[in-house]
Amino acid sequence: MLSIPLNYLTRKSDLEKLISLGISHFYIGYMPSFWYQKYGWELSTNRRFFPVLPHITAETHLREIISTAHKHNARIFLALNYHYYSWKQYPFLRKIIKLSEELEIDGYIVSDLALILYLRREKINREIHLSTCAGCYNTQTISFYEQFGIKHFNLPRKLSPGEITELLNTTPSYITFEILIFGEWCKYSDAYCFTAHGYNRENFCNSFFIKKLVSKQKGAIPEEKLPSTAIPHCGVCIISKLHPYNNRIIYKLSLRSSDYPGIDKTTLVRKILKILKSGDISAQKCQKIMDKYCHKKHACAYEI
Amino acid sequence: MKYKMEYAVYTNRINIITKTILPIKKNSRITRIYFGEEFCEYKFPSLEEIKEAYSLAIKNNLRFTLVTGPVTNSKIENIVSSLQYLESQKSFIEIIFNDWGVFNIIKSFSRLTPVMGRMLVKINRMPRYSIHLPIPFSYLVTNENLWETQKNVLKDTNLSVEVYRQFLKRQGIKRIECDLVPQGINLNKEWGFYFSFYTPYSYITGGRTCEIAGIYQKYKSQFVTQEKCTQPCKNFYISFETNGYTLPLKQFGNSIFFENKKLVPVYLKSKIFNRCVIEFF
Repeated sequence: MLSIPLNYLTRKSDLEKLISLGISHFYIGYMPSFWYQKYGWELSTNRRFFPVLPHITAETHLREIISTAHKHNARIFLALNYHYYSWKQYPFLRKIIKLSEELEIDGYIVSDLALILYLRREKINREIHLSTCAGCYNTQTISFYEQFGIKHFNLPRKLSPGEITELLNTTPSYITFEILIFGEWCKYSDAYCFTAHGYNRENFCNSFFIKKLVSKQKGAIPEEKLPSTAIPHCGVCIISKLHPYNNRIIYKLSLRSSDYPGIDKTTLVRKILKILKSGDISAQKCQKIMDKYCHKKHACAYEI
Repeated sequence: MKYKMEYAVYTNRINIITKTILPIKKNSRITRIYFGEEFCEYKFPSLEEIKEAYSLAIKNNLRFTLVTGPVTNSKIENIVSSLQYLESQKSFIEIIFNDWGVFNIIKSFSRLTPVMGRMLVKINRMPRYSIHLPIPFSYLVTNENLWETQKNVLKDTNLSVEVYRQFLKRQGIKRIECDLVPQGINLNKEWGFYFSFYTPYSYITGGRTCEIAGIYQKYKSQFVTQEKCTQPCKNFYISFETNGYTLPLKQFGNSIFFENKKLVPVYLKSKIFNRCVIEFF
């Protein structure tokens, strides 16, 4: 199964088209004006800090998206996955949650343990999916969060195929996972990145700082050089490793419109669905199907 | 609660402890050793090193804290064996956890005291904005006091949420580690926790994509640390030239820090913290 984000630009017809392709799992961020007027875009409700485009901002749009999805038996999850919320923000969070409950959102994607505890205290028993930003690296973490009724885990983006397989093999079959296969892999680990995004239109990871490798031996000048780091955008080949577990995995696309101007979402989705339907498929075959969307030459996320 | 500042020395290298144990002991203000690794599971000390560090601490009348970080399944066993050893010492030993899975394991040991690590106190570190004010993206935003509103929230943590504090207390967590941050941090003595801070470095970001490991991994397009890491970070670190744009930055291993020495006096005056952890990376 694939999971796809919806945003400000998603029209009812776009959603219906994606559903007709066989997609039934979507996620959104909701940034109503009462939130961004108070807190701006940098203190987002989710992990997108760019104004408007990555979010749903109007209540009418939110209602339309959710009702359209439900009409076609698709599911929509609301990302409330900012690292943490201050108690000062909870009156505004409550408004968002109240509206989401009224619209019968299918669940929440959450990172903040305080928010998870709050939702359960308020008897909100909808599905909570653990966000990538919570940092689920091992089986014991899954066991810890299960006590809150969490059974679906978005895995960190820097786990290897072997480590993901290990988690699949050491957890009960009702535990499911979501794995990013296309989109921008952050340079740093989401769960442990505490930089402030968005200010000065510049993220810490994109700031131009000159880095110098320094020897810990006094006076020594290193001959070694720092490598240049490529940011991967594609890890679709991991399907070739994980296909025996496809019934427990949702493969996620994270497509920010601003980052992929040349990418036709429908074509990309069709290619990935073709790979998924192939069952036992090799990495080479995946790359062939992905064709120009394959980033093998530049940066392969899972190094397959 | 009465507050008296305790000082601890923190390192992940046994040779630093063996070289400096006598000066540490002579300094009567230092009463504790922090030993372990918060940021990279491959650098977590071996059981032998932990035994040696613990033994040195006890022989010199110093208390001992084991520091742990996020780990994958392959490294959990290392942590478990360390905890088993420390549990067998029949002395109440602190274990800092930065991963709720590791906490899940610590819970099963009755003599080990869990301490919540600074990586779980997810306040925005803002090294760029101690010197220059950040400029929020005010597109469509009419709040004239936007930065002041944001700053108010940026000082908070999720510890401001009562249901979360109650949960932490039920889990037996009494101490919480924090990083010093330029915007200030809102902590309350009335919450019933003890707080520690670290100096001279506050953690900013990091992860498994390690540039220093990448020095010897040129065949890879990105440098996700793997089993075969030869730990070049033992011999190198990265300094950043930022032309004064940020607080001074350094990268040790896979993690980036800013120097927080200038912030310490302000935080000491607040009397919120009762432990100062001095880092030796």
